[in-house]
Formats: sequence, structure tokens, C-alpha cells
Amino acid sequence: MQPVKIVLGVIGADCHAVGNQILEKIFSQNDIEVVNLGVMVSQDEFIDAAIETKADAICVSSLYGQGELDCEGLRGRCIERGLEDIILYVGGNLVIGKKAFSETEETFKKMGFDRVFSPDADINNVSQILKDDVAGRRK
Amino acid sequence: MILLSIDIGSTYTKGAMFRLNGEKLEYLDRAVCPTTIADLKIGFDWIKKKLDPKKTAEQIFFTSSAKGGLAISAIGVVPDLTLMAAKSAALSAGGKVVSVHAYKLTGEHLAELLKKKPDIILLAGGTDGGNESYLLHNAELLCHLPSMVNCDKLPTIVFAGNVALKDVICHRLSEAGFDVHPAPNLLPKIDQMEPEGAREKIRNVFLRTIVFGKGLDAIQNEIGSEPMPTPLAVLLLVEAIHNELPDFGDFMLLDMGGATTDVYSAGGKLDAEARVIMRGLAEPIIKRTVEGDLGMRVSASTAVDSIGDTLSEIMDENQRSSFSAFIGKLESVPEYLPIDPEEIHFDRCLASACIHHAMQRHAGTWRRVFTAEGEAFVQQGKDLRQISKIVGSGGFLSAMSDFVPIVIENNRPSEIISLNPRNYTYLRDYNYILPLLGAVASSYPKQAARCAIENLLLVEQGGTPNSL
Repeated sequence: MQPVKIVLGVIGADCHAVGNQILEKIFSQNDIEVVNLGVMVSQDEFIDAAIETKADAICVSSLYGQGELDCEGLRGRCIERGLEDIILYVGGNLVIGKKAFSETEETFKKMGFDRVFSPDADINNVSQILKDDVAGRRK
Repeated sequence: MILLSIDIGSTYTKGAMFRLNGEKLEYLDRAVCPTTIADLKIGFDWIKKKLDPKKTAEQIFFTSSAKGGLAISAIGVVPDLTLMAAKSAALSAGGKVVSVHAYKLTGEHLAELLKKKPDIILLAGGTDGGNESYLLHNAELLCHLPSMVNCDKLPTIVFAGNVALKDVICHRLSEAGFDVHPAPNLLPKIDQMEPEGAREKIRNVFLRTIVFGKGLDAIQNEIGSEPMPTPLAVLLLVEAIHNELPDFGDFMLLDMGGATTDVYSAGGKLDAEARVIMRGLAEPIIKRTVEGDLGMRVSASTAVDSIGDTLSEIMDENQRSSFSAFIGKLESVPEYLPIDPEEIHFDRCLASACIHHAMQRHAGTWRRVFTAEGEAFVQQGKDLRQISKIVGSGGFLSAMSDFVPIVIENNRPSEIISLNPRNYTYLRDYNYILPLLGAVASSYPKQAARCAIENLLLVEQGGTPNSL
């Protein structure tokens, strides 16, 4: 099987760079090819990169609490631009305030994300889930 | 030089005569007669003779509303993106959007679309080089339509989707029996709406569809120019006032008729201020919306269905049964005029509610959100709060010397704030000539714009239902 390829980045006006570097490192260690766009990435930059690199998934991080606003409409844009089948992951401190994670998960799934991860997710597990999801999609 | 402008509406044919003297256009006279449905030229000629018996007019403009506007079904992929762009293009071409469809069409959607009897299907979807699968699916499904209807009733298709599929889809659709017109993509890039191409195609279809038969072709041959859709003429006038008379400032125009309530806005804020986050496609500076369910006569009963809550709010409880009877009368006799004080009051209530809702649907909104920096607002659409002038036109608004439409600050769920004008003066098109001037604006924008402004009358606060 061709290696799994993802576009990775921190969305919106968020400039949390350290987590982004860690994610890239661990995904790479798990044999996932990472196209890392770094911090302060717009929705269209994610989509541009995914189109050009024919990526399997877009993995969006958000740590500053505005994730919901920044991610709204991403699935719709993906569809219009021809990425209707792309896998969308999101993770981090997605909302501010005390909200049950299940609630946040539901919000982002409604927005069209395939999977939603909490701040304490183990990236090695995430890598395995991602590989399985991609394998399922490629069938 | 004497100019005539004649509008053939679904119920009435109206005409106005103007004198053009260099930079100045002067309104002279106006005439109305019932539209002669069997042969439109009879009414047209009657108006012409009435206004200009000595045949002094050197230029004649004519517009036609084509059964209250060309009916368009808009098909896109994502509701907020290509479907929104398609809707906006259809409206700015002077059309009436009768149905909208997003994502993948189903047989059910197709049946629903047919019921609405569109003249045109505007097929959009995908940015250039973008989505293909939805567009292909939808085009393929549309190919079943010809077997479902008579060929003469088959809607014309304007294709304005992903350019990569233009040839394939247009070929496939014309093979299936459709008259297909390819246009440039409405949304070539994700944030770049380009409606002009599709607008032009829709206008061409309008000319070919309505000009044939019923005497319009004879009129066209006689005066040597093509008719323009009436709503497009109004849009041209709004554009002319905005471009030629910047001192007039940003404004809105309400054109309320028996069948629809049309709202135009020129200007309004499109850029975000601090703590405001913009969402959705950028809306045009000159924006038009048409509410086909809100109107004073033909659509009075659908208006009651849509906005009954507002109506009952502004009416006393004991009036409701006689109001229903009034609506019943309007339905059976669309040219009915109120006879007693109660009916006059009902007419005003209906007008107030239609305008209120048409303006709410036109204006942008703010949604309150909380961010790391505190409270902020997500803005969708245009911010019209600073607009200081509202102009009223159409049979009812032109005639009412003491009626001022009032915009309710907010009747949506508390988190949503409507961005309608807050402080404005209200001006009335008291001669009811704006649509007629619109056609003139196509050749003489500056003169027509100035003449329009000169023929508006300020209306002081008047007898609008109090609670609105």
C-alpha cells in the first residue's frame, strides 16, 4: 500500500507551534507522510495543499479556543473544490469554557469532521486509526 | 427629445413620457390600462397613443415582467457556496427563484422542481477544477426530465458550473433534448463570485422565451429594440443612482406588488469591523432579493401562511376573522381595493408585515459568539444599519401618502441580530415611475437617476400599525 499522506496545520489565527512540531514528528515515526503547513493556516491553504499533494486526509489542530469558528464551512469548501471524499480530522483545545468532550465531538462531527480528538489523545493511537480509516477509504 | 417608456406587467400596462434636454430628464405624463393578455400590442399601442397622440417620441423603451418574473430553479452543490452564488445570479438577472437544490438531486427533488414550473434551470456546482461528481450526478438526473414533461414545457438550462465539465455536460443535456446555454462558472474560485456571464445568458433566454408570440415580437419589430425584464430595469436604476449620484448616499428600495415584494440595497458595509468575523460569500454592492410568497394581492394568502405570526401580533384578536375574510376577497379578486376603514387597516397590516419580513430576509445578520478575546460577532451578509434612506415603490407604496414602513429591530432568536437600517428617512415614488425610469437608465443613466430622485416625496411618520 502507498504510504498514508496527510496535510497538517494549525488553523486560523492560532500560532501554537510546539504541538504542531510534535504532531509532525510522531505521525512521521508512524510512517505517515506529513505535509506540514505550520501555524496560522487558512481553510483554503489546507485544501490547496491537499489537492496538490493528493493527500488522504486533512488534520487540523486548534489550541486557542476558536476552533469552532475557524473550522465552520471547511467540509463545504472541500466538496466544492473537488475533495468530497477527503478524511477530515480535528484535535486540540477546540472550545473555550467547560464543555463535555462528547458535546464538542458532536459539534465538530456535525460540521463534517470524520474524527474529533481531545487534548489528551495519544498520537500513536491516532496514527493507527488514521491508517485504518485511509485503508477503508481506498478500498 | 421626447422619450416613452412602457412596461407590460401581468395585470397592468403602464407608460410614462419624459423630455430629455441635454443633461436633464423631465417627467411629463403617465398612463395605465389593463394588460391585453391575448395581444399585448393592443394595450401597448393604446398607451402610446394616449401619451403621445402626435407621435413626437423619438425613442421608446419597453419592459415586460414576463408573468411576474422569469421562474428559475437554482441547483448548486454546497448551500453556502455554489447554491448561494446561483441564487444571487438568478436574482440579479431579474429572475424569481422558485426552487433551490443542493448536493445530490434525487427523484423526489426532480418532482418538486417540476411542480414549480421553472422557465430556466441554473445548474452550478464546483469551482473551476473542483468538484465533478455532484455536478455529473445532477446533470445525469436532469436527463430524465424530458421523459417526464411535454417538450414545449421543458425548462431551458443555463450551465454555470465547473468549467472542466462544461462540454461534457452541455453535450449530454442537449442530447437528452434540452436547450442548453453554457456560461462561465459562477464561482470560479472559492471566494470569487462572477455572476455576469450567467446573468447575460438568463437575459438572452428571457428575450427568446417571452418575446415570441402574444404580440411582443410585433412590438419589437415596430420599435426596433428588445424588451428588458422589468426587475432588471429597476436594478439598473438602483445602480445608476448609486453610481451617478454618490451624494444621495447608500439606500434601499422596496418594490412591493401584488405577487412579490422585491428589496434592493445599494451600498451597506461589506468589510468587517473590529470583533466582527465575516462569513459566507461576499454579497454584491447592489443586491436584489425577491420574496415570491410575500405580496399584496395574488400572494396575499401565501403571505398569511408565511408570516401569520407577525400579522396576528399587530392585529386585535377580534379582527382576525374579518381579516381572513378580507384575504379571501383578495384571492378571488386580485384587483380589489379596500372600501372601509377596517379593510384599509388590514391592507396596511399586510403591507407592514410583508415589508418587515422581506427586509429581514434581505439584510445580513450578526450571530454572537465567544472567543479567547471575549465577545465577538459572526456576520453573514450585508450590514445595512447605516443606510439612511429607504425608497418605496409599487402600487401600494406609491399611493400611500401616510405610510412609513417600520423595521422591527429584532424578532429573531436573541442570539441573532438583524442588520437592517436603524435611522432612515422614507421617500415615496409618488408618480410610480421608477420601473419605467429603469428602462431609460439603460441608455441615459445619469439623467434617469436624477429624474428619479427629483420625483421622490418625503413621507413623514404616518399611520403604520403601532406595534410594528
